[in-house]
Parts: sequence; structure tokens; C-alpha cells
Amino acid sequence: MSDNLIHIENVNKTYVVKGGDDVEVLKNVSLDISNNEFVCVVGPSGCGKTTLLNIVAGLETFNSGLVQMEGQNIIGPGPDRGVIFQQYALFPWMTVRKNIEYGMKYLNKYTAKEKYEISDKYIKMVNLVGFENFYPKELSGGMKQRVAIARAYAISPKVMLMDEPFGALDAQTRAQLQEDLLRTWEKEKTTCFFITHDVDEAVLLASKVVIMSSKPGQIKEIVKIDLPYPRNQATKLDDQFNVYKNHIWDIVYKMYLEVNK
Amino acid sequence: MFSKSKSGYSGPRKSRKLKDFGDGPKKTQRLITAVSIISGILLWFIITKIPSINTFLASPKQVFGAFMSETAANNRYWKDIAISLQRVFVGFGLGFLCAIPIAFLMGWYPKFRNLVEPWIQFFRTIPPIALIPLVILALGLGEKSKYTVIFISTFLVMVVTIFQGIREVDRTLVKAAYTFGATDKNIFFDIMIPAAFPFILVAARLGIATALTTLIAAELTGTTFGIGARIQGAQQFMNTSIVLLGIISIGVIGYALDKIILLIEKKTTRWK
Repeated sequence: MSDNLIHIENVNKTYVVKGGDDVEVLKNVSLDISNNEFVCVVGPSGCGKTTLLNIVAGLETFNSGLVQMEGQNIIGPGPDRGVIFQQYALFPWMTVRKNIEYGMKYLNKYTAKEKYEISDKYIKMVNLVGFENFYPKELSGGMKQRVAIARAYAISPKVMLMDEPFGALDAQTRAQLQEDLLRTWEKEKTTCFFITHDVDEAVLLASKVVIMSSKPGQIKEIVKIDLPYPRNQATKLDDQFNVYKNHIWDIVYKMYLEVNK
Repeated sequence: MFSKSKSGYSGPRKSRKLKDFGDGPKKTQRLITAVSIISGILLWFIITKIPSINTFLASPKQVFGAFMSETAANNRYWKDIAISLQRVFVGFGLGFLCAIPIAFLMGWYPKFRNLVEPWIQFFRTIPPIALIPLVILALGLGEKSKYTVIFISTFLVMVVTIFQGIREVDRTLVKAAYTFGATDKNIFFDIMIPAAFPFILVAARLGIATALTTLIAAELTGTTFGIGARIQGAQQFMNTSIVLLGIISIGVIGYALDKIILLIEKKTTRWK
């Protein structure tokens, strides 16, 4: 129990559609996330995986069930959870450094000098030395997401909630950022809750893959990935990697066929 | 319809001169502007040589003469400018300070928006000049009525533009700020104001233009000082050079204030 960080129990969420059937976005979803785990959620679009992440982030409400972090009900967003959005969500009027320092602003914990030093540390971590005074519009998509990751890590959250963070990036940038994220996680061991629709990505990163189905959004299966860390792109050549991948693909593909029958 | 070439294939298209998309070199831009201004003044000079035109349109020389006489002796000119500017700044300033929070509340609370929007849209369609008689009846002929009319007209123009800006703020940025522990007050000052700042500047430009229009209208009745009053007074004595001097002065003031806001925009929105 002490090891359990996030506890989700029988969560239900229904969207009321005017003049149509209500949509059950989440139905009896239960999930536990332990400290230092890397949990990936895969599933077809519309399976409610983003909704689940938003609920844990405190950015969305739900109809019934229990969502707790360290035994406390989650009632709203807070800096104990770092959120990475697919659209980066950088403040365009702030430079790279100001964006990262902004994250620490409301903690009221650090002096200006400390914030500067911490931002330096995370700028180094995401390989953006030399870009401190650039504005977001001057950065590529991959660099923007690096800034967002640095900004979230700089507040030392207990869990990172990542909503398809690499979904909008090209294949090479995506592979690079996956490796960078693995390095960071192997070092900092910050619990990760990572949403993706890419099965390869899920198996490569996760210690546990949660497969969700759509209509209604439910957890279909949870697969523990027993591949040793450190991992890198070469891990994808491992036989065991492909066993996991095929198994998960099978379930996801069957769901796809069922929905499109 | 496309016209068909008689011989069928007419060869490769004539190549156009390659063109860079952009404003072109600064030097060329300045030169063209200078040519434009000088030829405009020259044209003015020439047409006012025609006597029938000169009866209502004073020549540059006459306007300059009026400027010299107005600034000499009792220094009437600068007094008029000062009092007009004061009216503009007080009215515009009040309008600006009220427009920002109201626009924010409208963007933030749909109920508040529903409450105030019909009134704003309704009063926006009324030319502020139409309100002048009523405002004079309520507040008299003094400064208060001038401030009020300019306040109303600038407020209405700016609140709509700033509201648009608030609505266009990316909601993901607001969500992100919340995840860092921002309160509603933090969201207003740290996210909404800077994110909507380009719109706020556009609103300010529109507000200044509106303020000047309303100013002159307000000064045409029941006041002895101000640029509008001076124009009105000079017209009664058929002193067209003073009328034109007043008109040009308003133009220069409007142009200068607009340039100042553009300069602020250039300095503050490098991130855009």
C-alpha cells in the first residue's frame, strides 16, 4: 500500500450528448500505479485514455468512483503532478528559460537565483543549452516538447502525466525523444503515466502496458513488460519485445475489427 | 473561361522576375514615403493657387502663417492642444482600464457575458455623438461630459476587441498554468493579459482613433477651448487657415499616438 502512488477505483464518466445516446467514456475503470512505475496506456482513439489522464491531472471531472494520490482524493490540478500535453502548451511570450522558471513560480519555494540554477540543470538534461533565450516559435516541435518536459521535471512532481507527447513529431525526433525520456526515467525514476496509440512506443518505454477498449472505455488487459532497463531503440530487435508487441497488437487489432464490423 | 491559344501549345510560360516576399529594403521604403509626402504637399500648394479653391482651402503658406500667429502672443494653439489631449487621455484611459477586466470577465464567465453582451452590442451600434445632448443635460457643459462621451465610445470599441483576444487564448495554456498551481488571479495577470496583449494593443489603436473622433464632436458644442472648438470658432469667421491648421493638428496627433502604440507593439511582441 505504501508503494502505491495513484489509486483509481471504479471510475465512470458519461458525456451527455444532446439528441443522441449518452457516451460512456469510462466504465468501471480501476488501476493502481506504484512509485517508480512507467505505465503506458494504449487503445484506439475514443477509448477515453486522455480523459483518464485528465482526471488524474485534476483537469476533468468524473461521475462516480475514486481517484486518489497517496491516499488523498484528487480534487483539482496541482504541482505534485507534471502534465505534458501533445500540443506542448508552452507560453509563446516567454523564452525557453522563462517557460521553465514559470513552472516553479507558484511553488514559492525557490529564490530567483535557485530558479535560474534549476532551469539550467533541466535545460542541460534536455540538451537545449544555447537555446535559453529563444522563443517557442523559434524552436522545432521536438525542441518545444523538450522544453515542456524540462518545465515539468523542474517542479519535481511525484508523477509525470504525458498525453501522447510525441504524437505530433516525425519518426526520427520521436525515436530520439523516446530514448531521452528513457535515460531521464532510468536516472530520476519519476513515476510516468504515458498515453500513446503507438504499441511500439508503449512496449519500448513501459514497465506496464494498460490496454483500453472503446465504447465503452474500459481496461481490457494489463501487460507487465519484463524487459530489462536500460532500454534503447535496439531493444525493439529483442525477441521478447516482439512477443509483447504482437500480443498487444492482437488485442488492439481485434478491438478495431469489432468496432468496425 | 480560359482562352485557347490558336496554335495549341504556346511554348513555356514567360518567366516572371523572381520576387522576394517581404517589404523590401528599408531605404527604398523610406524613400517612397518621403516622395509621397513631398508630392502631396506640392499638390496642395498647386491647387490652392486656384482662387475658387483657395476661398475654402487655405494654402500651406497660409496655414503656416496661422500656426505662427496662433502660437505667438497669448499662445492659444498649445492651450487648445493641451486641453484636447487631456480630454482624450482621461476618456481613453478610463475606457481602457474598464475594458480589460470587463472583457476578461466576459471571456471567463459565460453568465456574465450573457448578461452584458446584448447591452454592449446595442450601444456599440449607436454613434457616440448621438449621446452628446443627453450627456450634456446630465453632466453640464464642463469637462465631465467630454470625459464621459469619450469614455463610453472608447470603452465600447475596446471591450469587444479585447474580449475577442481573451476568447482566442489557447485553453491548453490555461490548463498548463493550473497544473503548476496557478490561482484564477494568477491566470488573469500571468496568462490572459500577456496572451491577449497583441489584441489589447489593437484595441488601444482603435480606441485612440475613436477617442479623437468623439473628441472633436464633443468640442463642437458648448465649449471655448480645444481643437474642435477652435475649428468651430474659426469657421464662423471664415478663417479657413485656422480651420485647416486644426484639422492637420488632429491628424498629426492621431498619427503620432498610433505610431507610439505600434512602437510598443514592436518592442513587446517579438515573441509573435
